Amino acid sequence: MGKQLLIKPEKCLGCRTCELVCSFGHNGAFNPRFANVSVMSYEEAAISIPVMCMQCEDPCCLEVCPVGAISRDDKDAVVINADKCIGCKMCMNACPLGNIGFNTERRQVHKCDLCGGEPKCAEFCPTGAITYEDPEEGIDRRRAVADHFKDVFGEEAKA
Amino acid sequence: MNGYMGQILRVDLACGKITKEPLNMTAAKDFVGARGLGTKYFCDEADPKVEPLGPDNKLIFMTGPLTGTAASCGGRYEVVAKAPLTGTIGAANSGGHFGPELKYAGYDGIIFEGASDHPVYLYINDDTVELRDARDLWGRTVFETTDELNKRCGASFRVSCIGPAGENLCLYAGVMNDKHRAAGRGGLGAVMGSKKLKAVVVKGTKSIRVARPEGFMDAITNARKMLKAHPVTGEGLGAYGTEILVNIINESGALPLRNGRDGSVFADADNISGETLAEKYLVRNKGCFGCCIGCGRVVDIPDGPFKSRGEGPEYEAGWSFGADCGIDDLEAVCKANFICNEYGFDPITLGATIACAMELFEAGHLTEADTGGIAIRFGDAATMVKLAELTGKNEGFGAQLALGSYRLAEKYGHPELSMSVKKQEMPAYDGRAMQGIGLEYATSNRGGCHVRGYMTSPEVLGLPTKMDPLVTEGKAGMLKIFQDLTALIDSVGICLFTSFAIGLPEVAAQYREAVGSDESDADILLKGERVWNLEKKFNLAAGVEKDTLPPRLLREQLPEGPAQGKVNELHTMLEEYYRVRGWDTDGVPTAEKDRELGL
Amino acid sequence: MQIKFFAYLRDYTGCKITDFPYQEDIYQLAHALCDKYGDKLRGKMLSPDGEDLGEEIIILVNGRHVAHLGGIHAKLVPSDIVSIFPVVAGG
Repeated sequence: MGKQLLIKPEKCLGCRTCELVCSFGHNGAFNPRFANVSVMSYEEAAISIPVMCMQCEDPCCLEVCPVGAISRDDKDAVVINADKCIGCKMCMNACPLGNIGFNTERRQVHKCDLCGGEPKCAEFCPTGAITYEDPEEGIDRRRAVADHFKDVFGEEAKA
Repeated sequence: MNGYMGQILRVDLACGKITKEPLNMTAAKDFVGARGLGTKYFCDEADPKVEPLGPDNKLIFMTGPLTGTAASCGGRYEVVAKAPLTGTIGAANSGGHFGPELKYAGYDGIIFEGASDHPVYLYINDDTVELRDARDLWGRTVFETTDELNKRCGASFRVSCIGPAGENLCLYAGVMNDKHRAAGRGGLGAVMGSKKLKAVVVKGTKSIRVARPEGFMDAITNARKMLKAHPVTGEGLGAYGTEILVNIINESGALPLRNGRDGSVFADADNISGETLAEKYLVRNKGCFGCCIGCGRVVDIPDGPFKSRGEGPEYEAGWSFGADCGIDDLEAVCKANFICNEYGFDPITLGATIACAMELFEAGHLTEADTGGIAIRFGDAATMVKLAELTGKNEGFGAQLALGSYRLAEKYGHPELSMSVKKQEMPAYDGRAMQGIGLEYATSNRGGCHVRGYMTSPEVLGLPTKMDPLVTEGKAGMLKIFQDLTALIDSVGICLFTSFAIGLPEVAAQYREAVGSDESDADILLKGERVWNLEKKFNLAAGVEKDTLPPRLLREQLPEGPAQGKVNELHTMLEEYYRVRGWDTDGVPTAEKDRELGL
Repeated sequence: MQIKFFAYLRDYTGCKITDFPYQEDIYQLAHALCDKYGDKLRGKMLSPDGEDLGEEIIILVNGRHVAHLGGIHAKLVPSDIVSIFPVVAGG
């Protein structure tokens, strides 16, 4: 498979730089409410989680769009064609993850388009909590699980 | 509007009238924003002789042109008023998420006038701005107030409020936002309390525009790359927080021990260090809005008498509750720091005031008859935490500690035992072991303070250049540059910690692209100097005492360590400092300097 | 002589403090420490050619920064206490 956005909440500072650069990249102005990514912070659990469109294999938004304004581009991003969009907001209703927003200044729906293959959120994330990579190339997570098994059950050779 | 929202709120708390007025763009050009612009508004509107806790003092919240943008760590706002602790101009800034949200609601700042006759909070939801009853919130802690207001108004509102310390007019109460972030020093929370203003809640949906989007993106990309690549901002601060300084300052012989009475080398310093905090208690690090450093600490003390969870401590609190009180119990230090966040007051002044009480008690100037039966001795962690609680509640001897060390020591006949400048406690660097920081304390426009110039950077850390801490040569000139640059950084609305990795060119570039200016770096630094001089002129008009240090720093030689035998040689540096500032020998800005700065 | 390590240098050395054989000057000490503790320490401690101290290290001898004592060629005596930090800052 190709590259996709991956999140590692354990690295997230909750700084919301991703929201800023996303809104700026798409609208030329800073406004987290018009960003395609939102960081949810949980004080009691001491964790922050960036949430954005994961570019579903079977996108409800694409299927429900009555005018065919939503399609998949060559970067595997599900994108909205603003010229075709009539602003009916059916896609907002259909998305089970809440990842389609409405920009009240431009009067348009918006969602993550992977910035044409160079997502700003990943580029600017200061800690690597958001990365843009092929999940099958890195086996980091499986490695982490294996490392844990090693720590619990392994027997280091004594010098 | 090129970095600014172009509008401020004016709230008359006496009659409840709220007006929206255009931002004074001429002032914004000259004084930038946040600290500078807030001070400019204040000086234009308030009498320097105003009673800090009276209704005629004004309380100003002000953001900068970079606040709320993706500038490097651009999440700051400044609170400005005449400070009750010092009688100087009071300006304190804070990170978190409150400042940016105020801009998203469409306002660069808020000016509060008068005083309400009952507790209120200001509700801001974009264009809807109302004063609401806060009688049922009065008496509640910072955390309780924030949670309740989020429940009442909505989870996405940002809250800036005072705790019981501000309500009780504790002279070093802070204005607290996002629970754990503080505009901490000088007692601005008491000004808020005197106005019966419990909180400001804000939510906004508007956009912040910058003048030259492409240039701005280049400028912030460059600054952020430098922050990431620098070992301090890209590695050390995130891993260990500001507490990382405990060991290096101590090894340099500059960590004031037991109110400075016993010198500045603490044998048990590693027990309260950033390394120990990270190893034993750190849950996770955390960043403010737009931060790429992540020095914030989420800390958990899992059990024992100080079982608690919260954020911090910073280096300064680690020292004030630790070495300054002769305590090496990090759990107690954390607990005392959490109490400060909960009740809403400044841990530097609180810890140093407790340390002062310890010295007064051990010297016999203060007895159990005065303290309500509490023996207050150096090294007693449980008593230190108990005193922090009593001060938060304004109960018993805590009500006397709430006055700060100067008024406490004066009351018991020994003001010389207050380690303060202009009645504000000096932080965690001994001015005898670091000559430049002594000069910085003496000349700070808000009393004893380390973030008005941060001479620690060249004197101990070697950034941006290595200066010998024990010599006086060159300190005045370096301090002036640091003070002016700091005033600029505080005024654009970014975090001062960025200055470990970036300098004037990067700050100026972000400012220029945001506001659409073609001014040179030197012209932009001049704005910082203008802010500094405006603050000084306010203090002179207010009749603030002259620039000096506590007698201990000027006369008592350090007993041991690398700076053994040293005192602070303030007189030699001060004369040079006034000269490089273009002030007369009494420290008064000359007419020529006023003309140069357009003051 | 006594050598103290701080912050993440402790991860490189595996200790906070060590009694180290006496070295005549900082140059010899820095090289000896890097030989013992490895390349991670070397990367911070020394410039790439090994002839100067790295830019990301702070070395104090009895609490005094070596920059004020003659830099990498500062002389040492056996009773000296040497404290080694990565460049850190805070406030």
